[in-house]
Amino acid sequence: MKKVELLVPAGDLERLKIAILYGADAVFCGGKQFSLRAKANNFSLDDLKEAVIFANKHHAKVHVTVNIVPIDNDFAKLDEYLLALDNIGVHAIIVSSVYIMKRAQELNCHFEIHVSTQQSITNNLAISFLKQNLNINRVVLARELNINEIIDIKNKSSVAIETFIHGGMCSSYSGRCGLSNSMVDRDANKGGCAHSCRWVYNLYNDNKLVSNQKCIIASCDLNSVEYLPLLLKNHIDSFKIEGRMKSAHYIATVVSAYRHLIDEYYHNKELKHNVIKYYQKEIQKAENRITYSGFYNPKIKNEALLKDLNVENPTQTFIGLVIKSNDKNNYVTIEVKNNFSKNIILECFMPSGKCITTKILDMIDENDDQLEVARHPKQIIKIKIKYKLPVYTILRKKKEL
Amino acid sequence: MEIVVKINNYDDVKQFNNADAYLLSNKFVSFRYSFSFSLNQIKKITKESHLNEKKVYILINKIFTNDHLIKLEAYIQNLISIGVDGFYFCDFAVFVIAKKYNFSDKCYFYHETFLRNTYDILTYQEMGINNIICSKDMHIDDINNLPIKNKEQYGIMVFGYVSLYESKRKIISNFIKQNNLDKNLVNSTNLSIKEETRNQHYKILQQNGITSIFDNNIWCYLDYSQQLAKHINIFIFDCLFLNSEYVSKVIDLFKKSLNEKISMNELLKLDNSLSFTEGFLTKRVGIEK
Repeated sequence: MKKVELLVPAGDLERLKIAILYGADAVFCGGKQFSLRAKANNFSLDDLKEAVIFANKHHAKVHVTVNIVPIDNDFAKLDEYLLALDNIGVHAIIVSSVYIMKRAQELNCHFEIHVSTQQSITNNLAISFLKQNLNINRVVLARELNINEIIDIKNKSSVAIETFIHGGMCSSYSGRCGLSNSMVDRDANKGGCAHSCRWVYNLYNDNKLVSNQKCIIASCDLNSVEYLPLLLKNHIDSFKIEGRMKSAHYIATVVSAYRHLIDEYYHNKELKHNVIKYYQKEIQKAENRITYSGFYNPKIKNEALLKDLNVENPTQTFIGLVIKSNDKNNYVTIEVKNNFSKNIILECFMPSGKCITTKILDMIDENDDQLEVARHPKQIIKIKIKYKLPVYTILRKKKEL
Repeated sequence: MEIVVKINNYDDVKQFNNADAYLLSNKFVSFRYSFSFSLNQIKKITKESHLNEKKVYILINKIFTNDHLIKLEAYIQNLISIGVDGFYFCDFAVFVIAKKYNFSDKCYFYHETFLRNTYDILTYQEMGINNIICSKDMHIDDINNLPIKNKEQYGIMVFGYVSLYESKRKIISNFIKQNNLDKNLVNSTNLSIKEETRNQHYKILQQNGITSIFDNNIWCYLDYSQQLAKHINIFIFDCLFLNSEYVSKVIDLFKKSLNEKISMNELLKLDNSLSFTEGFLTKRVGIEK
């Protein structure tokens, strides 16, 4: 049976590697040109080359977002860029511009063409139209569809179907929002979205304040774990997690949870309630926004789709990333992410999904001076523990409430 | 030049004798309108309009899921049999259905953000979508790149409140429910939102399950009408939130402006309480402010 692809965002090379090691079948990332999420550390061509080599080594794929809605001047170096991506061997590009789709075909590029969710595709006639005219390989469906509509499209589709399963959601139909353009002169369709939907608004009628309460227009983040069995049963081709701006901790935690859920389903042909519950809890360790199953629920109560502003509630804090495994004295080299003291109970979350809690036996800086507290993010230090930790192990501690 | 006006009600047909075509809405296929015209009303308006050598277009700006496609096809068949002159659409499904009934030449692609460069516009034309309404954020420099030989097939909205945001989330209903407010508030056309650090009020409208937020100023391309007319043959006027009589006078000014320079002061004389912007016609926005 063909297994669903777990497609994961990668904001930079480090997160790309973490995504793959923690269970992604494919990653998507943006290049320096033609990509939304301008604030992500988008990949240079050299980075993309390294990404493809790493992905190939781990039997994973690299999809590159070429998803801006361009203006005329943007096209000047398009051919050069598409050929460079092809030469590097990326596996797919994610596109909203029909000219870019057409041009990739004309240049005989070998990568697949995936239609971005910005096209807001919600029916099979639209898919057939794009397939017939542009020979596309895959459509990333609009995020406004419910579970029944997604399944119906999959059953009738001649191309692969990708659906979002987790992460941030545009409150507007994707690609159709100009709030940022108008309010702060930043072009959302070229990667400049200022997230104006997350600002604080009040509602007025005839220019009179209706209520002192804030009027929420931002969306909850998506978490579709409860719909996973149905999506898997109906052979959706790819599950996409959103969040190129998210931390390595978030990526590792969420990817690992979905990896285990998917594998469990293929192994047992079902997902038991307690398994779902367990991984929901795992995801909460890194989740920094309120989540909901979004439009997946055909009977959704609308108010649940709108979120309070910038609520953060992860149950664990990401404190460090292992960059060198244990030396002969059992010292592990780590990059500090958030401050922590030596006397914490440490949770070590490994790429295999295995999680252990332990004490730090000793902590030293690069000059081998003793440390009681690691205060500086990005500082390289060593900690001594009794377990062997592989590179890219996530170190975290329970959040103090 | 074809002057198309999105009308507010049945009586507007008489009001807009200076237009060449009317753009009508219906709640099954449209959102962001002042009035939903029934099929019978569309039929009657089409008949009257054709007698007066005016055209009737239907705004089909909703996007559709599979379970609506059968009804959509039946509706489109009805519209074609009534004799309407075309559709303004943004879902490819509408184009595919229209093509089945040999009506694709009368379809106008009206995607408000994706049609802002000549490369994509020409590609859509190669794909058979011949008539294109340029996106609200297409810059004048890029419009100047549109091939003049295709001029008859290009349109642009030149006057009206422009929507900046479309969401399937019922933002007003949500607010009413959360705060135990009067449910009728959702029907108000005078609602606006204001961001706490800014002075501007942005009109907000929830209609047919879709919430739209509009720019705080009316978009007006009066100063550029002659330049636009070199590459574009369809000027669209939207009456939403505006008085029809007023918009009719604005159309007269625009028509006049095609032959002589008309200053914005002339427009302000019609109603000096309104404020205007050229939107993104002459302003490039980037990634950083």
